[in-house]
Amino acid sequence: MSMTISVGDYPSSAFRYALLDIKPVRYEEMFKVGSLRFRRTRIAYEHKDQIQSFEDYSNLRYSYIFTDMPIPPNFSEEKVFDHFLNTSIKNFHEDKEFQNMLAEKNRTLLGLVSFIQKRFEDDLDSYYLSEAFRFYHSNFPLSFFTKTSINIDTTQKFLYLIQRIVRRFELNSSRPGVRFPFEQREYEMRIMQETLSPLIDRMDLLCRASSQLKIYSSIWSATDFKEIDRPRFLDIKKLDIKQFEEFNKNFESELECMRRMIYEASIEYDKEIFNEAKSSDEPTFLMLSNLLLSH
Amino acid sequence: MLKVSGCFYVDSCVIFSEILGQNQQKMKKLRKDVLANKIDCYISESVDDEVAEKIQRTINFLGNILKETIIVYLEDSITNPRDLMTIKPTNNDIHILKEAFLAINVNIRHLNLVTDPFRMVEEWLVEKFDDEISKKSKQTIGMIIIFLTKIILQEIVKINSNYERIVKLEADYIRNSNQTPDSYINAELQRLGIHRPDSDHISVMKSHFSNTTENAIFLTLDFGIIRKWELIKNYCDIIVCDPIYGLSHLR
Repeated sequence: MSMTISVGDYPSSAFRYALLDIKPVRYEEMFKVGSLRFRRTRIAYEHKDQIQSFEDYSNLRYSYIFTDMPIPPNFSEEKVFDHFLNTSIKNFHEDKEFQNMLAEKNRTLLGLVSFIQKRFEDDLDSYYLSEAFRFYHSNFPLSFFTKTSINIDTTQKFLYLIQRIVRRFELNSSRPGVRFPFEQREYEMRIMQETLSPLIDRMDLLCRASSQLKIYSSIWSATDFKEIDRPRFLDIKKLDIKQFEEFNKNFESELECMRRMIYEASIEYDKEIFNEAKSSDEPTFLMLSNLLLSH
Repeated sequence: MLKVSGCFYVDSCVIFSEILGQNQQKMKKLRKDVLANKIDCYISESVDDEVAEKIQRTINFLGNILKETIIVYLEDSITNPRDLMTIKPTNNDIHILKEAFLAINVNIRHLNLVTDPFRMVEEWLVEKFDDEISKKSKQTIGMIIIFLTKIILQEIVKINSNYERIVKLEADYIRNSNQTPDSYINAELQRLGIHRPDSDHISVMKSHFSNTTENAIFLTLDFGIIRKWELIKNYCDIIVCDPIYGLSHLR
């Protein structure tokens, strides 16, 4: 059991790379039917600009996270920054499955999004378990971990919404009988990217706020450098309450904005995203209901 | 068809019934009345604050029981300290829980507080521990508590999501009101024995009427308020009632 620092380590970054920085391009393909050779025009996706390396991108991301982040005097600022940056880069390089998915030439956009979504859903239980584990090994109130758990739910809803938006793009851009299929795809892609862009930007802000809060709590709870991302005990007494409240307030505000944004987009793309949430553990739900009604 | 005019304001217990799916018959009628007659149904800021605060208080109450009672008792730190992450539960641990809740009940009686919330947690926890003990391959006690916390977190996320959908996002039939409590009526209500925050919630009806000239009815399931309805009507000219009677007061 590990006390992971972030949930789904920046789900927005993969989408920014795979869905926003791309444009459709034509390419010609030869194929044979019997002894006859034919040529057909197909459409693929290529990146618009020179993409930064993952290392540069991560560096930028952690620079944002560590802006205004107080570091305990017994740790070197540079070493703490490098530790988080290098761990992120190492995790990325070790994730061959994800890299293969990104590099695959014939992948559809929906295929990529569904891959990321499925991965998150498969690990969903472990994300909640990680929050429960952090509660057990801490003196933080349970309500703190409720917020971080709502963040997990937000990521789940975000991924589902992105999947619905991309699905609509794929359906609209590959409709049969369209006279100019390439132009149609360009047009649909522009609409999709205009929809996705503000959502991904907002998710970036939420991920930053959430990482700031978790990293701040972790590094100040750590008793030595080896513990900075996995402290044995999360100790609220070791934190500067003013600083903690500032990070917490920012996180809660970003969380609220993101959820409202997902809700507003869900009205057009899939109302079920914000449907009534049903209990999956009746005795616990009953106990909680009775407690809420009795307090 | 009789003409219907005016609006509803709901109490926190009505919001909780909607969020938790309680009092289904009453809530079904309220929803039907609101939608069929196009009645505006509001929640005041003070009710919203009360709901949010109750949720937060309940979560931390539960967290404190887990941390300061269950874990402390099971660790038995004074006589025979145990590392709960390494030991598996036995039937004796149920007896330790019994002892823990007995101590709570004795203390609570002494303080003359309501014991019910603890009983609810006790019943739930003992059932969960019983289930775990009867399993062939057991988790450690520490991991059982972590799993139970995980379930609590998942359920709270769902409850919170329903609250957010109904109140914050106004995705159902309830809208947020920006009317504030009327200070004169608030004082009158307190004189009648209706204390804050209930007096805040009810006095908003007066502000609503003063600012819009529209009649507003306060819907609650709290019998402590309902039984004083006549006093409130006579002294403050505000109607409070159970949601099933709301429509009849707007005809």
